[in-house]
Amino acid sequence: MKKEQGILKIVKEDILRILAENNDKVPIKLLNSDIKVSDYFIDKAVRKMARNKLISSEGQFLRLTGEGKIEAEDILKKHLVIEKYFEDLKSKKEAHNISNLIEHYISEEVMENLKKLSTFKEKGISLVKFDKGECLITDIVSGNDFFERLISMGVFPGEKIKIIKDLPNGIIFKIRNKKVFISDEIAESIRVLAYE
Amino acid sequence: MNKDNKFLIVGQPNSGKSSLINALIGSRVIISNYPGTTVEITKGKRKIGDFEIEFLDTPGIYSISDRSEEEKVTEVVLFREKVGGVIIICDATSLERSFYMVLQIMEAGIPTIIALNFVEEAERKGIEIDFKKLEEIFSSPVIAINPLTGRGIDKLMDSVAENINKPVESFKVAYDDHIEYAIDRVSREVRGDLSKRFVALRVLEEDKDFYKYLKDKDVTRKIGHVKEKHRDIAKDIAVTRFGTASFIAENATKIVSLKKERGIENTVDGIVLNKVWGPIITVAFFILMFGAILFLGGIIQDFLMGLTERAISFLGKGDQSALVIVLGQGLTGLAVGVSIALPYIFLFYLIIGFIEDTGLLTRFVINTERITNKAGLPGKSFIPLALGIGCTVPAIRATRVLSSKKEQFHAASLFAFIPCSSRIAIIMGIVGFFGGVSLAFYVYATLIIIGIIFALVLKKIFRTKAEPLILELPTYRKPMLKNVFTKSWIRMKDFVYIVMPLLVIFGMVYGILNVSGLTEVIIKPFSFITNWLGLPARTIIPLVFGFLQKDLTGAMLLSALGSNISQVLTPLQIYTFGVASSVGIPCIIVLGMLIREFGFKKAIILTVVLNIYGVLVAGLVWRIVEAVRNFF
Repeated sequence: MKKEQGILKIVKEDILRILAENNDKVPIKLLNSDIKVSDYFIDKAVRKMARNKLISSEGQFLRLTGEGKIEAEDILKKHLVIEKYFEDLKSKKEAHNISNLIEHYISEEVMENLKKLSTFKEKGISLVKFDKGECLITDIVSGNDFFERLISMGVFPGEKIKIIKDLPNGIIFKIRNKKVFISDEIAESIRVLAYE
Repeated sequence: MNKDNKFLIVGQPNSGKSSLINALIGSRVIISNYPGTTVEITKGKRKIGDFEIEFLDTPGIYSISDRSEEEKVTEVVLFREKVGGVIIICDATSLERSFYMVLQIMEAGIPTIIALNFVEEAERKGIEIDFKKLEEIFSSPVIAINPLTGRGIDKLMDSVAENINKPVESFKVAYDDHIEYAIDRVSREVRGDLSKRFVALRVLEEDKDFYKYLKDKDVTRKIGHVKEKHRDIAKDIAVTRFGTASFIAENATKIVSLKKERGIENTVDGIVLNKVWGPIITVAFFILMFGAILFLGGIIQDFLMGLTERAISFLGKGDQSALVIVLGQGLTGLAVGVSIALPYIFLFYLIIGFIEDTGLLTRFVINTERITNKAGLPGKSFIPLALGIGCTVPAIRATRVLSSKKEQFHAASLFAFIPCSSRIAIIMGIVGFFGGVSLAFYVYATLIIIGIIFALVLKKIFRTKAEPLILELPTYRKPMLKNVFTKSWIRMKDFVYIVMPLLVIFGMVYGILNVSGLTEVIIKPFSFITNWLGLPARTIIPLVFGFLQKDLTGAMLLSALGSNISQVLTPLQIYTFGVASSVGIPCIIVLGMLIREFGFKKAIILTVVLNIYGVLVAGLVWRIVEAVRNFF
């Protein structure tokens, strides 16, 4: 019984999300193909949600009610943040699937941390994680005491750098024919993308 | 003479600043700490036509707004000293970086002369610079110099005479409209005679030191709507400034043909900066260097001491009158001074200066940082710490390479556990000779263990965390011997003029006390120390007087107890004596140096704490060993 409740919760949230993603009425068929559970659970969830006035059905189509929209927004936001985070690691499709799993269980705290990560993700990875080859500086996270020092040394978004050595205490790279050593602590704040 | 005839020289590290100072003034410069800081500034005068101009030089910096102490001092000198102009040395091989600081100083509305160094190197790399265009853009003189060959120096001097205190309308960076609005708004609240635009920019860049120039300190809050467009306005300002610098550099240079980089440099770096070999090479180099210095120091010391003894016996013609003893001690002080100054200071700085100018030192600092980090100290601290093995006095001066007083104090306190040559002489000559090599080894082990304990406690108290490092690795260059010599002499100067006279005076004081019989009176109140240490009462003489002149400790012990120490003292007592006389601030000259660097109060506290620590540990070990012995 408990297990069924768990599955129903997931199915319910999935339905909410799919409806919110499409922002319009959605054929029930789509739910059946998108949510990987037996139709029994989907039917049950749809009926329950209709009872709770979260969705309204129009023949073979479903639509969110005002109340439903509010609840759906919450789950959709979680979904998008997680999806964004995994997007760069895996293929879009994989990310989507992983998100489908996580979104139901994630705590607010984990969520906040992921959000931070996902904004970083948009701007490349930290230089510390990059240990060979050439890369492009995409951003320098400000708010550290070394920001202006880095800028004035020519470590600047848009510049290309070539990693020469990855030492235990820092990294040596070449920028505009000058060699620079920086501690890992500072390299942390430099975002780069691999350069092809 | 106008009192504002001051010209400041600024430049990034490795831009050839010290060579320019050398070419301008030579060794007649005065180096001093800027009041309240560990930052050294160099001053020197030079006549140009009818003018006498004082040149000021602060350590190399990358921008004037960074938060390190060096940068702060440059900023303070720029404004408090009321300089009549600034020479900015720019590295022609990376103009955009040098121009960042040029733009910043121009914002301050100070007459600026741009001196381009390494033009030949840039040409070799295939970079051609359009000087005319640069002068047009900056509306300031741009002069190619080479301090090593003298190129452009006269032209630079003419330009200094011509531009000093001349009102300027120099180049302005055009910021985004919103930022310009904010600058304008903040400018209206600026008081004092500094450039309003400059102060406004500093305030917007969140430099708290400039808030005091504001009539209305809340003005930054009143421009809240600008923050909506520029959530990180400080970052946007820096980025615009660098963008402009880059743009100017690109516009005024032509890359004729990009030559391939030198292969040798990468090969050398591949070895020197290798994960495994790097630290090994670095440590081996320093061991070799200090070995050579200690060896040479020993020879010089023996020779000078022999000379002094002969001089004394010649003076007194065998007669031991009071005057001869006092003069003899003074002479000994002088000999000790010379035998410290020559090898441990001059030779040391000669070698350090040499590897500094080749570009190797920076690589070594990167390697040693991995070791010193563990004690909460930056990589640079390795140099003074290693120098302490020779003599603590110059080593304390060398702690000035560290960037904060706190770090400097932290490093200086560790000298209590790094035996200098005089303390090595006690450990080897007294403990080792009379008690056996293993006993000397125990003393060393004790020093290391209690030194590590002390360093860790200090790390906790001071909460020192080694600052993360950003270093440029300079291209390897052939050092100019003349430069290296001048630099070493400048660094030795204040030892010669301040410490050497002190050594002579303390030597004579010791002589007077000896002759007048005051020694016994002074020593009496200290007898509780020997009680705690379990040593014969007479050993207090070498222990206390060793503080006046460490080199005499051994000799004094012999004269106090007779030459057959191993019969008078048990091995345990020899060990105790060794530890008690090795741990702590070794001598009064070191105390003097500490007072000079940290002030009277801190120096005394440090000395008392460390010396009590040494005596406590020595007595404690003795008690523990005794207790264990009795138990079995």
